[in-house]
Amino acid sequence: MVFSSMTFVPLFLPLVLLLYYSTKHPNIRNGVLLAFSLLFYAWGEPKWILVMLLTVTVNYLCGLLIDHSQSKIQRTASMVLGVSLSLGFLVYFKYFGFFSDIATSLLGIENTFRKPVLPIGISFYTFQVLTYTVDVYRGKVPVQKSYGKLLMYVSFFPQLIAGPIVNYTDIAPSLGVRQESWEEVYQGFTRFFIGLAKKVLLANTCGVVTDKLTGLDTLSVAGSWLIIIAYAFQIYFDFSGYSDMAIGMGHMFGFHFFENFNYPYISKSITEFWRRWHISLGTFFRDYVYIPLGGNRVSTGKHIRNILIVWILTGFWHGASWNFIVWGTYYGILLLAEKFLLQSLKKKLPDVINTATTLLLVLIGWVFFYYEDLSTGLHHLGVMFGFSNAPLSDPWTVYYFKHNIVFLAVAALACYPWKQLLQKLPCQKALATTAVWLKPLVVTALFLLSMAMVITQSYNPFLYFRF
Amino acid sequence: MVKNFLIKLFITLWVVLLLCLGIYYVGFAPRESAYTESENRNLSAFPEISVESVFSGRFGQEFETYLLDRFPLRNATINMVNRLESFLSFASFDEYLLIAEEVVDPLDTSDFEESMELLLAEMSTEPMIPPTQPIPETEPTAETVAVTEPVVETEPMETPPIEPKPPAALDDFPNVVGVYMDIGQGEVTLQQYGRNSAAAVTAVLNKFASLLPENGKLMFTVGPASRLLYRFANAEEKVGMYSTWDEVVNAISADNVYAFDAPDILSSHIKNGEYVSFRTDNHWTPWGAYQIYKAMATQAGKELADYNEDFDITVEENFRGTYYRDNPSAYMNAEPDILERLMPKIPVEYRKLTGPDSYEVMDFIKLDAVANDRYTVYLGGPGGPWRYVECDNDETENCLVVTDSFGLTVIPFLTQNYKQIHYYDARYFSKNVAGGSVAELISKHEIHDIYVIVADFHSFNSGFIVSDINYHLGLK
Repeated sequence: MVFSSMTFVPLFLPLVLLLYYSTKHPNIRNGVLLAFSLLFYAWGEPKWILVMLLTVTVNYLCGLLIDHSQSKIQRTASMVLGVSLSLGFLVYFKYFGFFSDIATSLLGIENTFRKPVLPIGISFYTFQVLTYTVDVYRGKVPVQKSYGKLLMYVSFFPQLIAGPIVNYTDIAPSLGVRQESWEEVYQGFTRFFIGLAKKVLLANTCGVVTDKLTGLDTLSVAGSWLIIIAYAFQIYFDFSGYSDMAIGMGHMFGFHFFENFNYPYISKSITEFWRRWHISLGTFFRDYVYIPLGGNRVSTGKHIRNILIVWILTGFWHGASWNFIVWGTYYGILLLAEKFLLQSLKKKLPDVINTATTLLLVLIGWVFFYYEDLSTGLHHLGVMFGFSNAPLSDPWTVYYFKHNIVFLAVAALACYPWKQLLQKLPCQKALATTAVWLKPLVVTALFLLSMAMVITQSYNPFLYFRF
Repeated sequence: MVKNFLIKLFITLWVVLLLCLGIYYVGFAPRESAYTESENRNLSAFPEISVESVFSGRFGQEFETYLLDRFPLRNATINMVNRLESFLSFASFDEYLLIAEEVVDPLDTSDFEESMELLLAEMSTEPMIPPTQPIPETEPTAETVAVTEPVVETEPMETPPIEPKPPAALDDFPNVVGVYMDIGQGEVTLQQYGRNSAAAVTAVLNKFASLLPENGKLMFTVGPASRLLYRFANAEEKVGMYSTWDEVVNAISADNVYAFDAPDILSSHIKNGEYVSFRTDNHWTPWGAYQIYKAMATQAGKELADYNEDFDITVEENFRGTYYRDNPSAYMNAEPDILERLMPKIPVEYRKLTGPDSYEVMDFIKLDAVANDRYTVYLGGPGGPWRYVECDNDETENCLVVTDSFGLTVIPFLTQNYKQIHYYDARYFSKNVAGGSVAELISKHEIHDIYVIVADFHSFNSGFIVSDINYHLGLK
């Protein structure tokens, strides 16, 4: 089930809210959330719920084993068992096809293995449950003795299938009793509506531009730029819209998730970009891969190794194909360059130049991300930078640009944190008072428009579902 | 205080509103499938619930489609979004039409090229202008009697004599022929075909013509896709549209074969601002078809049908056609076409053969297809295996229309000129059901004139005539 669907908005969400708030008993409230979360996950393809239940059960038992273990070896063995089995499921479902392709091509035999179907959200919930097992092992949090609560943590529907990846440590206190309020629910609704508008009005519209133009026989220079700019908007508003909806629904039920995006396209460096983009994934890799490897408190050589490992893994997490590995490595190299070569130069350059170069590098990165076929991606880059005989423009590019210019302009404006700018104005107090009245009206209008678009549009994918 | 009140009001309002919508779906939304004219499709019915459908995920998908389809005020919502999209767009539908992809049926190239080579080889061994042959005398069979109505003996109309064409050779023409327009900047190419393709098509036309009785004529035209006509119609200066393929066909075809340049015929009407082709569909309008009919029927020596006097005309104001089907954009939805339905005032019966000696009666005008994207309002759209219209008039001659969808709007006018109008579309022809090859059926049904009317994408660059039609003709 997706958030921007008619099954979810007028049926699922009001029903779960109604049942949740019809009782004040925390356990019943948790029961309602758990039951609806399982229903949410099972709605698309019920069989995959077994994989999730198995993953949770394994980690639940490993958590108990860690807690009851007398020696460090036993504790470590229990943790390794939980992590290995969870990653084993992920590797099998997500990467088996990729590795079997490589193995069979190296051996020169035909690949007759059947590639498993990827259970939705497995990349997200596997990482979530790992934070539990590892943090229990590290002694950062007490073991969760209630299977239901651990299951609710993993399967909580707002963040189940496309994040944000919520650390168990951050959410553990909220799994029992929570402090809900009208103000929180209001914030949740407004955030949900804004996220829905980002997804439906901006991401979907930009997605249509990308799809239409990549479907053309010939690619022009202008077309190649428009494709990748529209894709940059699409992926940002798609994913950040989803995160907004998840965070908003968390508020509705008294949970507080950390922000997952913070206006990444205004970054002045790649390092800053990754502090603003998919923050929860970056945090996971920092806490559970980079720091355990030694982080930056090692020799320069090992530091470089650690960065490259983290970024190759980040790329590989996004998909089992070479383009994602190239994409991750590309960012690893850029981050190394910034850290060891360009730091002093960037400080001397004006902000606008730094932002523009960062944006350009990010757009180039999206080319690798968009095309699973590397040669097509390289051809696209060639066209973008004039290394081909492609025409400068074509009628379709002009048509789709003119047709969607308002949406593209709004998307560009929405990438800037205007709220922060307005808060610096002298009249910000008056603006805040006006906002009290204006915000409900604006979000209502956005919501109605979004629902109207949902009814009209047939194009409504969530890009991050495939991860 | 005010903020708290607003917050409570906002939440209550939304939860109640969303719940009302949910209750509507659960309790009041129609469960059955229904046709929607504005979107030109069937709305989903409530999906079947079974263990298989739930566990395969099919139920979830179909349920979502059902909810989207049965949203209250759906039509109003879609209209609102369309208007908004049009308002926010800086491009126009006309711009879309100017660059729209051609709606082309898949073509079996190898088959086409093979057929073309054979036909050209045949032409080189036969005289360029084959003599017209009288139809062989055949006794009516039992099947014929069962299918065809007794012919009313009336005085036949005077048919203009067929004049011999001057000798011509294919080499007299340029290698490439096509369709062009002049919009004040010189010649602009709209379509191009090889000269040999035109010759191969002519060879097939000649075969048809050879089957006709004395004074029987074959009229041939190619219907331009409306997007081509709109390129001309949107130009600031409209000098003219014209084809050059017709010169080749007219020159090297049999004496009784006549090719008509549809773009040239229609361009003068376009210049007058007449509505001769649809915007949301690739076909000509009935008024456009009437202009083609007039040219052809005049050549055939027929008294012309009167557009306003001979038909009962009803109007469908929300017709969205093939372009809309392929690109359901807001523009086309917001600006649908007008489709006139012409029902002959004389009694007609439209029959589809279900076997060599049996038929079923069908609707001449399919009223429930008014907004259908497949252009099925006339004669139920393209179909097979062999169909004909029996007309209650004083005519004695029968004709055959060899066509795709483009001839369907011409057939109503022919009801004023022929006793029976037979029609077949090579895509749906069945020799077994129809009771013989096309050549045999031409003889059996005493066809006097033939009209070959095809879309541009079924003309010279396609195997439609040189492969399919030629094959069904059943002549070597």
